[in-house]
Amino acid sequence: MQIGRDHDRSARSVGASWIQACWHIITPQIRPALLACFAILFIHFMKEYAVAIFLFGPDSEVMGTTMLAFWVQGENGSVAALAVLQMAIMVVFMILFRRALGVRTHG
Amino acid sequence: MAELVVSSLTRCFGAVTAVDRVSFTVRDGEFLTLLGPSGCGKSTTLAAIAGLERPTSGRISLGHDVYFDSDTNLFLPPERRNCGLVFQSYALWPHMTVEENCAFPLKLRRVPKEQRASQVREALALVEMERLADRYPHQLSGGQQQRVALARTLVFRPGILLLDEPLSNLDAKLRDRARSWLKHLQSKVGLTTVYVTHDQVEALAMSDRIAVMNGGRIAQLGTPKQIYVAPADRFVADLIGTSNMLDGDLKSDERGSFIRFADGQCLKIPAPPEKAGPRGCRCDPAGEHPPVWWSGSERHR
Repeated sequence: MQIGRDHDRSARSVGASWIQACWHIITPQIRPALLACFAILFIHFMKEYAVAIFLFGPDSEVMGTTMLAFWVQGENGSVAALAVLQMAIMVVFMILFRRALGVRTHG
Repeated sequence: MAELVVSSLTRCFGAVTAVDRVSFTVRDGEFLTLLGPSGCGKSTTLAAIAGLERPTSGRISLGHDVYFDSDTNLFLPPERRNCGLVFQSYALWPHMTVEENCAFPLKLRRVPKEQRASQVREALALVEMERLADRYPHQLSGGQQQRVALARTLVFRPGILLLDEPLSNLDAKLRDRARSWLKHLQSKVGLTTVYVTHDQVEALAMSDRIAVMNGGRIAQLGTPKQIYVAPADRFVADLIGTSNMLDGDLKSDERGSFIRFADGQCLKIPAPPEKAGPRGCRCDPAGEHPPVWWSGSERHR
């Protein structure tokens, strides 16, 4: 589905301000696309350590960076265990996400 | 209800002048059509009246409300103009039902809920769509969507109705019916209306007056009859009706006036009027109607 310029223009002409037109007309129409973007980015950052490095502190250990630290130390078993955990989180996330949005793969 | 006055409206896009010093007045309750080929500036003029397009210069006012005035740098945003605009694409919001679509303008105006419901019912009844109030736009046919778009526009009782080629997405048969239905509705609600179209049949059938536009200017402004019977120039004559345009030289001698065509054939015609330099004429070979002369410039695109 494409969101034409006329949807916004018609909202303005019936009396909506720019903000009202964005909130009541445009946002509801782009919501599925926004959520899909969120899902893709979530999965992407989950497996990422370059971005997660900013969250890394003395009290908080981020999965990605922890995995890297284990890898450097040669602790391959721990890396594998964490990777399995990561996958499990993603699978659960995807199942919940698809349920919530009612995604249908076929038809 | 009020009179729409557009004076010397100009809109430039870079070096291109899309609308060039256009002036016209639409009287209270009148149906004015802007007629012209695509790219003649008619839709830009309509968008300027609705406030969706900011003109370069000029003045637009409806009754006592000034919409735009380049002298005082006044530009009223579209939401404060109370114009009812119907789009060619209908532009119904797909995530709302028919009823919600119609209720949205009233919600914005903070109309109480009970009154809102009755006003929406009234507007849908006007376009004979009450039965389908719970449907979503994609569940409706083109003709039904067009009616809903009109109801959504009429529900908040706009000061003026602006229609941008509302019938051109309908099939030919439905268009004929929608035309008379729309005209009937317009006279029933008595709204001042500006109608944009490139279809001469629509323009001639529905309008009180027609403004024929060419290259950003008004080529002729008059009643459908005036425009049909006495076109101001070749462009208008060519646009209205179906005619064969033939070039020839006008000759007059003691035997009378005739036109000599390129292949040497001559057509005898009654003498042209005395006023200097007719540039063209429309004549009826059967001789039932006297020829119509025009002297306007030949700005043919």
